[in-house]
Amino acid sequence: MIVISQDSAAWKINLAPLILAGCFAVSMSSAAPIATNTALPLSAGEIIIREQIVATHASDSIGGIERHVDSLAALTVIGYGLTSKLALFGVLPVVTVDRRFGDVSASYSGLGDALLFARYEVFRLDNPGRTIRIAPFAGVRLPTGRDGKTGDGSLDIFGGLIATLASTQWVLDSQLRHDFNRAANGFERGDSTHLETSFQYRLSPAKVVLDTDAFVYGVLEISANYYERNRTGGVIDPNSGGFHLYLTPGLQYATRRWIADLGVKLPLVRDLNGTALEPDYSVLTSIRVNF
Amino acid sequence: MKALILILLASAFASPILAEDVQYDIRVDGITCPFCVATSERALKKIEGVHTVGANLETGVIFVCADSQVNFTNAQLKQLFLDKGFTYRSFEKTPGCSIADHADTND
Repeated sequence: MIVISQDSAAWKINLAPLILAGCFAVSMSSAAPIATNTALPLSAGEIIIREQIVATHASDSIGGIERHVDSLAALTVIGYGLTSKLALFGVLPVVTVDRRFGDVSASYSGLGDALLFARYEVFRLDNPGRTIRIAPFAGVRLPTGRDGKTGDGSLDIFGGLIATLASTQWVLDSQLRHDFNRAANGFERGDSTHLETSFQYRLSPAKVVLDTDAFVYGVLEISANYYERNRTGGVIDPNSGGFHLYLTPGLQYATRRWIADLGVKLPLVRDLNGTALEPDYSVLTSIRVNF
Repeated sequence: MKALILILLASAFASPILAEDVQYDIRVDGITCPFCVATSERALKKIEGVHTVGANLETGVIFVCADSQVNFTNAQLKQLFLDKGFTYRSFEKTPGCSIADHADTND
């Protein structure tokens, strides 16, 4: 029989990606992706707040013993347009995690690791009802969560590039991001690279007129994620790291003042190393309001 | 007394003519969704004398109905839309206000 205590490294290593995955499943600006970022502008002096709920389920079986992890993350995102090109963002997750391995179970809840980052627009090409934007971003993940339970305990940095092509009929967002993770308390999560693309197509109304004040979008997003292996006490963990490919279909309702969306993140490819726990699906829903 | 009544009547009819609205058709590039245009509309509505603001997203034109005393300049509008993250191109000013006439211009 395999015995894993509640403080086991096996829990710690397998759990955090499920929580942290949601932290970047946040688009912080004016338009529409569900689990990707966008380069569309946040006006100077404008504040945008997004509340997102991410529910993730993962399960498998090791040696005939079932393993389940369910996490529920509530992410509060606040964005502020310092100028029309430079926007600052903060993400504060509150996380609840229920874990069960055979007869052993544990639950944790509390603050997760917060994010602070900045995005700067370096390219813009505007035409009537169309735009192309490119914006790099960089930030830090702060160890505000409980080490090994709702957070990693390390101060990590990340950065990347977002490109957005938008018209009144459709929007295409694509983001490349790399996470440089550092060690804390003998544990170092492997670095990771993420390529995410979101396509949003206006389903309603068929025609845009003067008094059109709401769009309904169909959303399809694809996300490729590569994780390097973790290290515990300087030793590489063979049951960590690997590759994920997700597809996220969803719907979005965008008005002049607020946007609501709902999506389901489904794994197309789950190629993690060893016995690393592989997520089954995530449900994402959010509402964002600009002020 | 008759003269005074005539003057008062003339003033009553003359006032609406003096205060006739004007319409600005402002071409702004890069606006693609209702959420995007909302902040620009709010900024325009804060300007004293502006009554109504609407937008045709397909053509990239924002319509502003305002008192005739309102006089936009290219520099003012360029800065306003720059702050909102969009590209101001030009405006046309016409007497009267006919925003509703533009409702179906994008066929």
